[in-house]
Amino acid sequence: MSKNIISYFNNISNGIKSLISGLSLTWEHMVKKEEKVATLQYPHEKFPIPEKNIGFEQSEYNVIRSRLHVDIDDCIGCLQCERACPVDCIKIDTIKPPKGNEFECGTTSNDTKKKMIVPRFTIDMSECMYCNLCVYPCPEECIYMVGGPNESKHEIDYEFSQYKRDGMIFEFSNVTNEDIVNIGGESYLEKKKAKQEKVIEGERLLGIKEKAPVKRIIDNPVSIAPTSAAPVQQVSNFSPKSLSEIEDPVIRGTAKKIFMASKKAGDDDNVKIDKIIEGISQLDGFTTDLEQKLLSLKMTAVPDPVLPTSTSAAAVEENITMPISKPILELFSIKKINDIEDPIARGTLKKVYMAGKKEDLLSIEMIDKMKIELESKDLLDETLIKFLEELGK
Amino acid sequence: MTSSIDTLLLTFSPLNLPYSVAVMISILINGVFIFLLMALFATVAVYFERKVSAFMQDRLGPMEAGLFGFKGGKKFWGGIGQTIADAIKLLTTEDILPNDADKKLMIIAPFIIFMGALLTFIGIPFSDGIIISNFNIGVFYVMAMSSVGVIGIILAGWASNNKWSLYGAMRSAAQIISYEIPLGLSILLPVLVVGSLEIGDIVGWQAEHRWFIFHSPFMFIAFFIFFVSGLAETNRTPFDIPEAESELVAGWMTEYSGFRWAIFFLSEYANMLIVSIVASVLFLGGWLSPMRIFNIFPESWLFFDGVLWGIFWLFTKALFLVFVMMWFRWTFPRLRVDQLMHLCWKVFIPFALANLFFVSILELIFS
Repeated sequence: MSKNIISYFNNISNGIKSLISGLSLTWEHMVKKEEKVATLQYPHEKFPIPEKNIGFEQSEYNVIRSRLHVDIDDCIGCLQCERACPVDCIKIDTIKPPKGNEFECGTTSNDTKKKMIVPRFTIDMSECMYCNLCVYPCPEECIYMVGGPNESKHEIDYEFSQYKRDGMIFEFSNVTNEDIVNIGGESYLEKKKAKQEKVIEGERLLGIKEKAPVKRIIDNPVSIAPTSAAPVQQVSNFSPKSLSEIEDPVIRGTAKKIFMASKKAGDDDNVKIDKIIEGISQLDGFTTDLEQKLLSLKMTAVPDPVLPTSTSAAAVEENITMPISKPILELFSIKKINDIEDPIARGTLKKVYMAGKKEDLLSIEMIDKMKIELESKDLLDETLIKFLEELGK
Repeated sequence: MTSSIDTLLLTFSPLNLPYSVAVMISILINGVFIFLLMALFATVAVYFERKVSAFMQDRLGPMEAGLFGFKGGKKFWGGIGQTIADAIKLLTTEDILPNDADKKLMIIAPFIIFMGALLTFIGIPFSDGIIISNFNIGVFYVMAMSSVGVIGIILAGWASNNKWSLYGAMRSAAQIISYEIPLGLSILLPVLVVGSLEIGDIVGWQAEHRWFIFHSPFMFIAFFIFFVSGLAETNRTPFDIPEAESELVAGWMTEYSGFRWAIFFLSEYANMLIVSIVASVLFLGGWLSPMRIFNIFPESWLFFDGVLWGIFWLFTKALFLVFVMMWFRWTFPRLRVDQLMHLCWKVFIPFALANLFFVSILELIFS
């Protein structure tokens, strides 16, 4: 009996002791949270990437399996990496200038003269198995895994997951359609166009209703230049705002109505102005001054009437050398994005750039896309807006 | 000690309202005040509970949800908007009533539990003279009202027509009824010493002499028994077998969702606050400043006493006890049903009876 009583009290004291030791343990963890908390808040902070040594000699094998990158300005189009790839994830097209064509392909940073241009250099990172085998044959050392030993050439990038598989295909070529035409590669463009039309037709047959990305390469460069140049001029000169200057409210209202109706019909600026003058000339308060004003608008609204109809080589050259079309057509280089200091914004923009480049976007569209993307991630600030606007110029 | 209902009635007297209307308005004002207090406390306490649990388990807890873009501290105390987001989510989710449930009872149950918590606040003081209604049997009233909730729990468990819910409800009923005995026996000690059930008198005695927790070793044990039994009354870990996530899904709350579940949650946290405030009032000197622990300082030093300071001290003590409850929750494993009953009937009740006996003898000798 007495034994039972002793063990009863022993149990109670043991219980209290173990409770206190348990409490002190959790208290310690709570107070020393600075050192004990193990959570890594992933998108905001990241583990440093170990410079992994896979064995053998450190100098040769110290490579990080992150993402393949190509310094396309150094690429001579020798196809060595394409042949080395065991899974065929690298696809390269080259065009050699025919004899007599004086197109300058440029030189690499090793002063090797380039003999051809590379209109397509895609790496499908969803197929890549990170074996690094493509890196060794490259005579110009322009293809490499980013980060690690190559940190000085390109910063580490190991997060390039996408919502669609297409996004994993990285296009490195910076050759424009003009270059291809200049080098005499119209047949290449035609082939490409036919291929893409086939793809679109295939998607249509499969019932994919999603809007196909705008494939600007399909358009013959001949027709791009004037049509994209003319609307720019129209918009800048003649808009409903010009009509707001009219003082008489009745005339202004009528003019605007005619303008909108004419716009709906898809008329030219000249036709619009003619229609407006015709419409308001019967109203009271119509003066010759007003007519002169509208006619002056008409004069400036007229674009240079260069509307080529043939696809001859001469016409091609003539249009491509048009100074207006050039800054709008040419996509700026991805290297410009490297000037951004914020790593998250930079990464985001690069992703957008690569995705947009696949769709052959123009600079303006690309910048719009970038802005939307940045805004959705809450990264857009004044310096970035300024930067993007400068890119557009 | 005045009550806030009386004060409100006095302020309304120049308006010449009919007596019944004035009483209704003052009751409404007090009710809204209590509801806001409960909601505010639940919001803040849930946030701190999640943070405390996270730190004790080497985690960070909620870090992302913010208020108007302000997330709080960058390193540890982020995510200050989390509970508000959760509350909005709870209020907007679908309220599901199972087909085979007893729908009337199921709808009534959360409100009975909520009324239990709400009515208890009538007898709870917030500072010297700040109490909604001052009874001369205040402690008894609080005890009685805090046990009303068990009816709601049994109703909820039964009406859900779910085995787990019913198990949870039965366990909860057994637990609450058992632990009410040591709870009542330990409340008896301060009442015995003071000779009054009025909360003002009990705190007044502590102001004259010392805090009850330092009255005698028996009183210290009584405080411990009271606090632990209070944990069992509020169904908190280590006595959370009625909810027991790992065994019973969520016990008697299993079939509830949305707004009704939010009401359960609100009442649970309100009960935590009630137990903590009652423990502070009975044993930790209520709204008295810590200078009054032993009543050895001269009267001129006691400038921390006063109505507003009283609110501060009472809530400091109560919130500390709430923190201890959280601390217990994230330290101790859950008791088995037989261990729970063993602890109550074979440890707490004998000790509480012995306490009562010895304190009575002390009172006979010294007074």
